[in-house]
Amino acid sequence: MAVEFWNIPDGLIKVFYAFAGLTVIIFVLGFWGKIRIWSKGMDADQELKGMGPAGLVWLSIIKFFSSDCIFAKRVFPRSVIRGLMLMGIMWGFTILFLGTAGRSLNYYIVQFLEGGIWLLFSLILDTAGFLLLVGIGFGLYRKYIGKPERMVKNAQDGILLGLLFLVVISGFLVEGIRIAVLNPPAADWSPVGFVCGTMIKALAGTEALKSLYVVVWAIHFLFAFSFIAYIPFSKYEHIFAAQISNYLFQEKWKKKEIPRDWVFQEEIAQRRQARQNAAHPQPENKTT
Amino acid sequence: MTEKPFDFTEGLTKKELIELDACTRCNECLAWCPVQDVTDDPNISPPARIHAYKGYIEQTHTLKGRLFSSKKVSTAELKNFKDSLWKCALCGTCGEVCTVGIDTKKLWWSVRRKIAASEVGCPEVLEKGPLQNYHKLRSPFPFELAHKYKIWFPDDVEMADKAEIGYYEGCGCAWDSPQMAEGAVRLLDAAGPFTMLDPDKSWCCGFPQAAGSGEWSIMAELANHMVKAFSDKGIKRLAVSCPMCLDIMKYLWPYFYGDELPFEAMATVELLADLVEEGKLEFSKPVEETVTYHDPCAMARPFMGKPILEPPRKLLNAVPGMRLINMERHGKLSRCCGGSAGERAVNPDISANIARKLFMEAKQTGADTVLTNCPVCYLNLATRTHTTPHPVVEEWRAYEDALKINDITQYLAALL
Ligand code: HEM
Ligand code: SF4
Ligand code: SF4
Repeated sequence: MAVEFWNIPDGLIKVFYAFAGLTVIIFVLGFWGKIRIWSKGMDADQELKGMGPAGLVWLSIIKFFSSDCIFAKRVFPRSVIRGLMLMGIMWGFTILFLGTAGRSLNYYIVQFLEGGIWLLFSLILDTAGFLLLVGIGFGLYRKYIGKPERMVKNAQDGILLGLLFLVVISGFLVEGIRIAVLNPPAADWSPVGFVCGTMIKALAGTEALKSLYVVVWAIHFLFAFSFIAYIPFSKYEHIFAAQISNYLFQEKWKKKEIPRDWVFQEEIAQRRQARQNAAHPQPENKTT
Repeated sequence: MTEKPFDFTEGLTKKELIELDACTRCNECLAWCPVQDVTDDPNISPPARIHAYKGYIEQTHTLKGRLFSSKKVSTAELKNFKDSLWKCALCGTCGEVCTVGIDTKKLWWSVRRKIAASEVGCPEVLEKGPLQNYHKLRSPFPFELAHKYKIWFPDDVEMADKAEIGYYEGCGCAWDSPQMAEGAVRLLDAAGPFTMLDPDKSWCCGFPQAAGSGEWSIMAELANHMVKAFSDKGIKRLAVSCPMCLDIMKYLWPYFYGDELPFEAMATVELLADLVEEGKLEFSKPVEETVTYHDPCAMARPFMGKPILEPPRKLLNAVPGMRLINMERHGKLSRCCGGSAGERAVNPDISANIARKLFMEAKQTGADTVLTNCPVCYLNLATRTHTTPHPVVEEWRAYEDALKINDITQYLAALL
């Protein structure tokens, strides 16, 4: 079911692969830069003791699926609506991300998205896109219209959120145009795409749509890759870090810190030794 | 030979470095920060600070930084950052509400230590005050330790030479809010024998130097001296009146001492609540009064261990006739008094305005008296009028009279 590259000229597909490769390189370099800085830190927390880069990456991945994160547990007590927004963004983005990976797997390696599974898959991805759209929509609303009383202004934040918004919108447009032109039988399993498709069908003829498709498709992948490449260099790096800070905060009241390995270590050890010597005086060394 | 550039990561913990990357700039903490309440300046808010410090690390440590920006963070930039950092009262509220669970109180503290060690150093008043005084006198105040108990220790109270129950007042109580120390020893005395250090051995706990001035190098000597002095007195349970002393005892002393503390350090109110439960302490005089209780930052949001919220309420409920009402913000989210961690000395205006805000909130409960249990809260509430009010707290005048301020132990001591 090679729908990915329907109606896309070969040249553009090459550009797509080039961008994909570049994105992966930038992302990995940026992410690695972060992990390297983290692992320079001192050991003071039992949970992170002795962890090198690999351990930190692993922790970041498994804690991503902790209930703190997927149920936005620390946001809900502050604001229910923002909790829902975050869940929308987080679930939406994660499902779309995994879904795209699944689609590539299906296309290049093993074909498993067929029949009923394919329909369900379409429905889930469509819903995820919708959640993401609503979440980002609310994020934009909160940034520019119903603002909190005090806010740190940062142009980069707005640009990136807008970029993500455009990624989702253009994604739905791509799907909509395809539905409008191809009229696939099971289009109602992609409700948002179906609605877009119906509206688009009323606007333009098949040929015009086909050329528009190429443009929107290009915009979609360009923006999506830009966003992903930018993640490690923006506040969106919280995607790797927030799950760890959430996790450690839970332990805050209970725990003790382990001794830090740093400059005062020697002095502390000396004083401790002196104390022990005073408490248990050693018998004087007799030379034989 | 080129000078080794200042390393902004060295000495921070892994957790702290991760936390710098975790902030989503959700702006939640700005709604809670007491400094924001009276300055309305988002440039000195937690996310702005995190963003700035993270920027310094990136500038000096990443490929992107090396390619696109100068190697050194400019002195002017660092000075700005330092101003922002010392405008914070280290109340920890931002960490309590943080939507990604950043433990900001520890983070600010660590970053202060870094900035104090950088070319810009810590604010001059803190360098010249608590730090230099400590080096000379082992006290943050410019007074000889020998006089530490003179102005407040009551003549009719007897201190045992050695006892299982010990008391440490802390310099703030001894010199700034002596009523507090007096109340505490009267209550302890009523419950049984207790002991204290000889005044010249009763050094500072290290909080003003470590948290205020960002200087940790004194801690090993200090912790060793103090732990030994308390142990020599045979102390098993140590009541500590100043919550900041207690906080640093639990957080840094064990580390710098190199072992677990050989006694249990607890807040005076905790010990007193235990003593009430053990039947050793009783309040016989009934009061017809409504009081409200302000949870000091270091008890509501300590560095380590559980928040101390119940014991003071237990004590107050043990007084016949007393009505206790909570402020809108109480417990873990209590409002800061604005006095701690150098704020009073470095930014007296901000500090007093925060105290006015707290005073207003206390007054709005309709209580006759606001009680607290920290020398700084007590002092800052009592002297809140000593600077020009910021426009945002103009309304405080309407609340100015008819709310008494007292320390919980002093208040209870009068009811024995
Ligand atoms: C590791 C799990 C994650 C946690 C704990 C987390 C946490 C947060 C929090 C607390 C906020 C602020 C919400 C508010 O303003 O009330 C936020 C905002 C946001 N997060 Fe996440 N997040 C996570 C993963 C993700 C993922 C996977 C994405 C995908 C792109 C994402 C994208 C966003 C966006 C777009 C915003 C809105 C930013 C803005 O308003 O400017 N987050 N996140
Ligand atoms: S610790 Fe308190 S004063 Fe400092 S930034 Fe956080 S909320 Fe504001
Ligand atoms: S509450 Fe936490 S995540 Fe939100 S802006 Fe403040 S420090 Fe950043």
